[in-house]
Amino acid sequence: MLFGESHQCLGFIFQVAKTKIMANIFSRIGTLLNRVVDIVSQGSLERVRILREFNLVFKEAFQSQNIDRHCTVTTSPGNPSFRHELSTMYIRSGFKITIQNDNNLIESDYIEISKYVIESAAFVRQLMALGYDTLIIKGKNQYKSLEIPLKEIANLHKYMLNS
Amino acid sequence: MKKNIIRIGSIVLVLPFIFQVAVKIKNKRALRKRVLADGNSDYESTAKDIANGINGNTRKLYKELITKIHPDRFLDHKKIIANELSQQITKSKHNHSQLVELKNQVDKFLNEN
Repeated sequence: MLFGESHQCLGFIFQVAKTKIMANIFSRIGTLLNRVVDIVSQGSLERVRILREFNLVFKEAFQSQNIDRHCTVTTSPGNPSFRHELSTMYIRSGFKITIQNDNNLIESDYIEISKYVIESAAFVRQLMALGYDTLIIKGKNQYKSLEIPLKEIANLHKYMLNS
Repeated sequence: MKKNIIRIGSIVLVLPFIFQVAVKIKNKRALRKRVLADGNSDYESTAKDIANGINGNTRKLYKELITKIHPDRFLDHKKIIANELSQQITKSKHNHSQLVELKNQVDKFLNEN
């Protein structure tokens, strides 16, 4: 009887581990495909570079216990109503910051985090040049997310007039 | 003959479309190039600034500086400098690297007193 229970328990652990490994493999394949699409659609590695550098810095900061929240940056579908002159197709126009350990995260925290991103208009313009039109801040386990239209933070008129 | 006319007609109709799209793509690329050339491509420092902000380091540093440099703590011409510095600190409230630069200025100013 006891052996049977422990066997069942082991089976369950095995199943969970298997599901996690599968999810990990799918996410890696997704990331790879995203990168290929970025390189093909943009003609440069800039979008790949920005995501890689952000993820590296966030990971290092979390591992060295400089920050208590682990954030990851990905490309995700943006908001079609936030389109601007350099927007890429809407399914790839969102610059999404996901907070992995989102316990005790309230709405004001999202706003606070977004302020540090949109503080620099030059950086926002760079994001816009790379085809992003929406900044998304989201907790991993929460349905709510904050969406900010980048065109309201900075604009490209100056560069268009120069052409 | 009729087929050839249809072919030529359709090409003539489609060509301006293709040309328009090509021009649009070219303009978009040029605009993108101009914007990227104007900006700072050091994404690492931007990411560090954001990480510091998320952690609350930026907020702590801002509070420390704004308390140190409060204009009411100084007199005469020093008050004017303190006022300018506090305005700059408030402006850079969410930018960690700029606040670090301002911290040096504040320390220098306080050491002069």
